[in-house]
Amino acid sequence: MSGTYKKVISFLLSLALCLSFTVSAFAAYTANTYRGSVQLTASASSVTSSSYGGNWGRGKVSNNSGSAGSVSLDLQLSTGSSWKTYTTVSAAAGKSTSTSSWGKSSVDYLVRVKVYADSVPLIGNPGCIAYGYVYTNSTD
Amino acid sequence: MRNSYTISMKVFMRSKRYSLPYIVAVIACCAIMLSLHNTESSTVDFLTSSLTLGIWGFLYFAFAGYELTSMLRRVNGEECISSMHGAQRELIASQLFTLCIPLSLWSAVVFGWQIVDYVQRGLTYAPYLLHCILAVTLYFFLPGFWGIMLGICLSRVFRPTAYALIIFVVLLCSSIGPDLFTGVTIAGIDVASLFDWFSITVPNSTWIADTIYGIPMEKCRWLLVLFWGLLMLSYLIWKYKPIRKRVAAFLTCICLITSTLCGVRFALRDNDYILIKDKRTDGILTGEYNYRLSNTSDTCEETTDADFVVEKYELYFSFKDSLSAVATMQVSPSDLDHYYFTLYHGYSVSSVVNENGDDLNFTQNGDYLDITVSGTTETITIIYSGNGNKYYANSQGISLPGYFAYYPIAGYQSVWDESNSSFSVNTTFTEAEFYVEVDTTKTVYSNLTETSRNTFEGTTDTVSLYAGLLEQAEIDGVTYIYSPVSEQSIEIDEEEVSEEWEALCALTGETRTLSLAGKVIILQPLTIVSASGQNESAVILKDQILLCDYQPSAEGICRSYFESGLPVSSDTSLLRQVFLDELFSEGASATSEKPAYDDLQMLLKYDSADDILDEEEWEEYLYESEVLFYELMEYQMTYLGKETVMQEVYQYLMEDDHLVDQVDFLYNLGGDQDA
Repeated sequence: MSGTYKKVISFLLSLALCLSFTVSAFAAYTANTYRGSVQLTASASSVTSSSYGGNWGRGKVSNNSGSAGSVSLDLQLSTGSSWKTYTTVSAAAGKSTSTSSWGKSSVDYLVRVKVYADSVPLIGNPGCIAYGYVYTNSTD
Repeated sequence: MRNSYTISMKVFMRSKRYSLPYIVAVIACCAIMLSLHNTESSTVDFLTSSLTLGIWGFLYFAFAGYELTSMLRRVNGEECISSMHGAQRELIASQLFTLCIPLSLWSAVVFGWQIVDYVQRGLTYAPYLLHCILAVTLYFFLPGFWGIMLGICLSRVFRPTAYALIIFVVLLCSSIGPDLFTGVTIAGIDVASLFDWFSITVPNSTWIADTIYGIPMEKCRWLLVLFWGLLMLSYLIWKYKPIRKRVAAFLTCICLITSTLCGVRFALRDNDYILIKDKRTDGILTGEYNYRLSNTSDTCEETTDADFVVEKYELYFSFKDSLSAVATMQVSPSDLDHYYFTLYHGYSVSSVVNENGDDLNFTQNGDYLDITVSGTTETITIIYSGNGNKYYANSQGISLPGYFAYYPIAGYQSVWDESNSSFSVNTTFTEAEFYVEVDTTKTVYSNLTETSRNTFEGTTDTVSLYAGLLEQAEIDGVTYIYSPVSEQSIEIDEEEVSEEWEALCALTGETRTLSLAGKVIILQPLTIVSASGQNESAVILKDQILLCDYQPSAEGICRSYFESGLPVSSDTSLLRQVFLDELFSEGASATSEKPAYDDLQMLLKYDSADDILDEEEWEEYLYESEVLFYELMEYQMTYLGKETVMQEVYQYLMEDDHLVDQVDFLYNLGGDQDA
């Protein structure tokens, strides 16, 4: 095997190592795996998604442009005792918005989102149609 | 008196009606706190959850107060005791005192658990213990005490009525009402805000705690407790007339007047009662969003650079119920006839003067302040006060990040990010000389050098101010300002950040540099990111890094910095999101099936889901964007490799003009011309 050939092999191996490092360097920081969704219908004032496991959670809400008003999404995490809301985002009719990721790598959480109409009449339907999405960093 | 007390104590101790529920309640309380202690993420969260038990204390002591004091009426002994001078007064006082003992013991148990939690978590921040004592007093002891008073007030009412009233009051004081009526408005008034008058229990218990502000204990909350307490006391004095009639009338009047004054002050609460996390229209969660909806003209998307610079700032702040400030700015050039600044709309400007004290004309329109000058002026002094929404500033805590316009910033800067429904983060400031003096009882922390207590000086781009449950520490040459009770990791390795950043640059082709050297790292309160704060997880400024992350890390800093440099555009928003998600994901799931081009038609038809009126098409678009587009990205990464796809997409996103649609671009990546 010639010296040049060996150098090329060494270079390629080093490159592969570097690339594999770069790919793994950002592992597991954020909640990017789509886990499920929940729909808010026109007659409901709020709806809560199923809960999904993970170290991080993130939520997204899409409000239909035909909705009567804005909707909000609460991102809720639980470690077992109770649900705590970590962040909330609002979306006007025809808008979508996401929360930032929340969690800790050392803690296992259950993650869910609550989607609700911002303005609820005392009588009648809120008239908001929206989808809430749950993302975690795990598929477990 | 001693006799009365002994009898009351014996009755309480020997009657199972009182002692058994008390023992059960305290044991249940301990069991709940043990469970919370094992699961709550921070000591402040544990304290918040513990204090929710205050409502049970209120219920029990209202019941016990009623039962103990109405006993005499039930056994027809009232006539007997009223024939003895002062006996009734002594009896009531001794019964009140008797019940205060189990209440104090129960409060001590709650506080004791805080100490256990504090010790077990290995905390060494003594001011937090004082914070705990005050919080337990306000949200556990006092509600229990007012429960006893309520029970005594109802002692002459028949049992069913009394019980019904007690349960009604407990429901009013619990979080059920505000939760039930959240978002409901009648004639523009938030129904939930009416429940503030009964909010004697700990607020925000379903929210992750703000570890810098701690448990909200603003002056108004103490006044509210005083309001109800004095109201009941005046009733008791009048009813039982423990002293001569005239004196009783006088004391009743004094109590009523004081109670009214407390009530009036509470009714006028505004800036000093701020940290309420519910959906009220002007609250911290949605207040800003609602403001922007109804004041669209106040929101500017683009930054307008000033044609002048502020060479020196002299800022005097006073933080009591809210922020009051005197900002003196040395401007250059001095011969302009128009100076314009950005100042958050929550602060109201009362006066603008030049160096001679002459008034200058000004107009404040939303977040923007325009000042007209005739002749020349070397300095401009602006006096203003108000409240910065989630960027709180009062006698309990201060959280004013430098990127937020809490002092006048030269030029027009975007304060609200319309596309993201969140606060904007400005990182471009002109360097200036700063002198900052803060009047508050708290110790203030800043990125500037402290020259004397709460006075700061230095040359920098912008100033951040924080106070509350905070500490400053230097670890491996890096200065951290953080809450010692938050349990957030504060050891961010400078080398790790550099390595992470270099790896990210290698993966994407990013060329900017990132370094922690010489920067102060400030761990901001989580309240900031809780409410419309998607952009504020990590903000990197000239001499400070402001982190608002539950788990601050090198990756988090790199990601936020990377994201801040990635253009936001409506025609690439879909690809941008998928790119960022996959870039920082655990590793894409390998997929061998490429979504059919025809299945992505909605993504080609519409730029975003925002434009779609038809509900079916909208749902189809959401499915394609949330599921199929991700599958397409994962397919491309499987076959072309993550590095290739990341670099190609990064280059595409960084381009000014996009000749190829984002969907077509990703679909045809790697030369596959299926589309």
